[in-house]
Amino acid sequence: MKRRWQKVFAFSIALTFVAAACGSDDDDSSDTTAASSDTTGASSDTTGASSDTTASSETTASPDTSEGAETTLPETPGPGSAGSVTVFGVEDSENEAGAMQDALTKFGEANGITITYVGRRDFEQQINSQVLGGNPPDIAAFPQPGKLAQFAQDGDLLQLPDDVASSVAEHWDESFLAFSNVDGTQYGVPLKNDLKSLVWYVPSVWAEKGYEVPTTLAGFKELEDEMIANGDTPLCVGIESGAATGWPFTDWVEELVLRQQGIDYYNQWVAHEVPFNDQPIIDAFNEVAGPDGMWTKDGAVFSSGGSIAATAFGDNAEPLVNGNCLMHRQANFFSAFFPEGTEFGEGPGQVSTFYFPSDEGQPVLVGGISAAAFRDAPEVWQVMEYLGSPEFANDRQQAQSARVGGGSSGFLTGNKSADRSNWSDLEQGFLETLATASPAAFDGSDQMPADVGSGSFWTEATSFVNGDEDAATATENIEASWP
Amino acid sequence: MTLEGTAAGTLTDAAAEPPALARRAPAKQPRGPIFTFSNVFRLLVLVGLAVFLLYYVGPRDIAETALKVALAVVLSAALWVGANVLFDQAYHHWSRFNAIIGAVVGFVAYFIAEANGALGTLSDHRFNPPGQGVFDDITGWSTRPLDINGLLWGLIGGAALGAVMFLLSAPRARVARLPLAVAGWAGFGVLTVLALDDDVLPALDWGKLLVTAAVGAVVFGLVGWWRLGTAGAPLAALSGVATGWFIGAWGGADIGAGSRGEALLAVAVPAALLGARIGLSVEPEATKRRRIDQRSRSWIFVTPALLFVAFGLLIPLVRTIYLSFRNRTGREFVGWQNYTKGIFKNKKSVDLDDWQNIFTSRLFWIAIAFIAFGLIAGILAGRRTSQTFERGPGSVGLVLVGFFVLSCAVLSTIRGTIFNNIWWVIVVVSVATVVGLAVAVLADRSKGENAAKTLIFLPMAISFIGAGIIWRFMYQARDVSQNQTGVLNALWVWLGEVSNSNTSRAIAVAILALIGVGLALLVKRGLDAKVAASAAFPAALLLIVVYLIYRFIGPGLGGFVTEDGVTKPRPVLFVQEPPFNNIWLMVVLIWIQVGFAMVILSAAIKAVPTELIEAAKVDGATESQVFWRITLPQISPTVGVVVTALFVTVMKVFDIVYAITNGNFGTQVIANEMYQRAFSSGDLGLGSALAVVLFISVIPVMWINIRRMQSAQD
Repeated sequence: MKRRWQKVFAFSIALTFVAAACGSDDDDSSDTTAASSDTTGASSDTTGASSDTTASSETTASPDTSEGAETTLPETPGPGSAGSVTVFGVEDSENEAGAMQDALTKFGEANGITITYVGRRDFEQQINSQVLGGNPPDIAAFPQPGKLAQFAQDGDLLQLPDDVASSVAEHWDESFLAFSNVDGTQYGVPLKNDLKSLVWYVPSVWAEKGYEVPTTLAGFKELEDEMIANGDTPLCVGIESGAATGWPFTDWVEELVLRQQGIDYYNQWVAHEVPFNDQPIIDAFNEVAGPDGMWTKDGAVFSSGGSIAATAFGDNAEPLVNGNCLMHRQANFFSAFFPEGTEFGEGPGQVSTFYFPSDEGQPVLVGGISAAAFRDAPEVWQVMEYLGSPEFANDRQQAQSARVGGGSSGFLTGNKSADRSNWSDLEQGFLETLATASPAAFDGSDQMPADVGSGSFWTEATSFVNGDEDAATATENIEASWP
Repeated sequence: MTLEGTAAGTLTDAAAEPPALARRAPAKQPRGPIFTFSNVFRLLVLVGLAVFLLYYVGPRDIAETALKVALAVVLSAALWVGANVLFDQAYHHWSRFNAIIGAVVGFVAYFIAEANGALGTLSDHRFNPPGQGVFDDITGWSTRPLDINGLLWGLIGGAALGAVMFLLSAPRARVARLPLAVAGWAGFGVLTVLALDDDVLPALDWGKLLVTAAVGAVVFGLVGWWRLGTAGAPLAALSGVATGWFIGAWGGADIGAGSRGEALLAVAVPAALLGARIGLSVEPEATKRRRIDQRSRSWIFVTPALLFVAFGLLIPLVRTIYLSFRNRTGREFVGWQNYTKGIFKNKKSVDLDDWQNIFTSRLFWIAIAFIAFGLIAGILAGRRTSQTFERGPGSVGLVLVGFFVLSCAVLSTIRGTIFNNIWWVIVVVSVATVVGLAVAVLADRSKGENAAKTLIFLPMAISFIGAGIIWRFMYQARDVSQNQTGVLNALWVWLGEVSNSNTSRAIAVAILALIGVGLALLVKRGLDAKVAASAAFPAALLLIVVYLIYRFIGPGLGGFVTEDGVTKPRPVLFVQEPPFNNIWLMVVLIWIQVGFAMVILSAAIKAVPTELIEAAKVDGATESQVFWRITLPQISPTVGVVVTALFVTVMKVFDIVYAITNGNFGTQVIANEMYQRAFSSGDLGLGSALAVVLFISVIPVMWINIRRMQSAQD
């Protein structure tokens, strides 16, 4: 009997340990909510006993400290008083999420706010269940304006207060603010941008083979044919991306629609004012991957995974460096995918980019992240204002640049007032392209409703590229799925 | 069933043994040395683990969690012991029992109401409990001063209802009982109305109120009539009216817009009705009280489990069905639209366009041929053994293979999510069961049985998502200019290389020929010994070897193609080429589930009485006849269990598809579609409808299984 009791005891102790290990994160979050909801009243009469906590607690960024700090503050919480803010976003890599947290921590420490950033790859699914479950984050960083608009229309998101909106508007062009503007009401602030209209190439190889950077879309296609005729493989393409397989194709279609039909038609298409299976869209589909399209010509594409649909989009960097192909169209963040030790620039063996050319004007396809708030509290708006400020852009760029060990960080911003000297030469060029874009169009699939933008557009694109459907059927299916 | 039998057996065995002796016996044994290697090692490991956790988690979190655990344990124990002690009173102290029940109900009701802000404020004073701050240093909790309103209201409510119930249970005469009950409960209702906060006074909606009251009366009345007979029906209907009235009054009302008079109608009337219902019932006599005392025990034990089932299963189920008739946000009713437009009239789910192509496909005619041959073989062989249809590998086997191929022919032509699921079910369930059965039979009592079974069972230990990722790498293809990194493609292309070079082809053929000769010898030995099983396996291998030799010498083998005189490798895109990429995904699940089928069927085979088999052999039955006529009928209930379990597993397959294709390339299945609709697109209605379709399609099989289990028990 005695032994059995020992076992029961040991087991329960072990369970406690494990529960503590697993539960620590959750406890943090529950503590934060408790602390934040109590900021109004609870700090008024704390007893002397809890001031011991303040004395003994270390200065780590744990919620306990913030509660301890509360007791030392004046009784009425004024602006700048302690609080906790959670920011939830899609960026989850060591560099990106780390730099985000670094910048937020820096701001939080200066203002007595505990800010926690949580990044999850499946943000799109998580945010739905969090909001539906009545447990949204304080601030969500939306990579897709479509999702932001959906929550705004459902009344879940809070409108940006006028003072924050005007302060943020000083630093951003109208076109960037428009991505988080729903029916004339500003809900969010932009905090990061991606420049999509880029083609990666190795200048020294081109010089050796005698190719020149094309300046028109027609020139780009001619160059492609010339390369094929010379026995070179012009493009590396792969559209596999786990649950998001198909998105690189949507970028290509958007680039072509934007270049050939103009920004007005593009916006109508994105807003579903023209049907998805409109003839120009079908044409754009076919031009990319239809019969004899840019991807489907004999010898036009190197896909390391055996077929375009089977190749992960990140697996295109190595073949480009190895010389299996000569060009790869992808956004600025692609710099993170090159093998370690790859240098960027015009020198021998170095990788550089050119603007994906247009016959007319300089339209640029951009992506980006906008933050919007679910909780109305002074500290939340403080953080929102910071996210739209040049200080945030500089802080985050410095942190991210330090994390990747100098060079191209992969972080870009359309913030006019950001200090460009923080960026590498290559990326200063990107900033220039962003600033001089005429016009800047936001990634179309990200603006469409989730059923299309992160649903049927991707899956139908995959079927089309894989040759299971023709362009007319694919666009018709997408049209049918529009909610 | 067998399970029940063994369980009962062990129970009786344990009971037969004198318990005192059994318990004392080990104590008499001399104690071994304490510091053996294994003890010390175990201790070191445990200490190391503890130190690591202490370091990793930190003492503060451990202390906090330990406090929570202790609190939870103490609370649950108190609840359980308290409930038992309470029902101990039912027989001897009926008044006390009633008073306590009343007090507990009143306390809990008022406490919960106060916690939800429904009751007024009694005292603004915050109470500082003794010992506040004691745990702060260890746990980091900063104890806040207590709001004692909940406690005060709870005591008031408990005292009031406790008193009413005490008075009710004291008098024995029925005449005094009814007015007392009505007055007492109505008084409790009035007290509640007075306690209510101004913010929650309801503005009644009389239509809804009367409808719910009527519905309550009918439902409760019918249940009462069913359970208690005609006498019980009116009383049950009365409590139904009270319940319906209360729900309708508060559920239908505009909370906060009403007056205290309306609150009186909403609370005091149902309370009085409930009082009347209690007053009308007879005071239970001794036997009935004894029954309450005894029956309560089972309920005390079963209630926590019922609560878990209700909150984890029933309520979500009802809510999912409800949501499936509503729009994407769940805010509007849309009727059957999610089912019709979303699922059954959606080309992605049900695509019958190409059905004519079934009859032109080669697979279809192969299947018909298999079935025809099987039937003819069975009837012909039956003539010899004077049976209408002789069961055996040559008849039943052929027919089964025929139906299997037929299903592939049909389901690779008509497409869509639903048909994909059906295809999964047919292929995975049949192949996993047949292969599991084959392994169980062939390995039975042979050398190396345990090793073989262990190997086949191992994949069961791998999670579906893990298996999906592993097999995605297996199926991976690379561009022709590079080395193949996927195992299957590497093999395939290597075979192509071999069959394209004359020297290596000669070597390969020579090696294969040697293997073939060895296999032929094995077959001969098996035939000589007249053991069909030991001849069949090498014979099958021999066929494969002969086929390989033919391919090497003739058309070539493997992933190489010759185009315009240039020979280059051609990897197979296992995952990207519909419709047969589905089969490659199913292979993963089969790989996992064969072990499951094998283990269960093997146990069943070992339980077949040897007397039967020996008797059959004495009568001159061959191995094959023994299997088809004795073993198979004997284990057929177990086969049923395996098929049911596999069916349910396969219907809800999600992880494998999610990890390998995420539903692209025509491999979508219902569960993955449901996840995408509900969580990626945020379409709750359609997601719920898909879940309901999945649920309903599993019900018949579950029902059959439960019926079978029940009939086996009788």
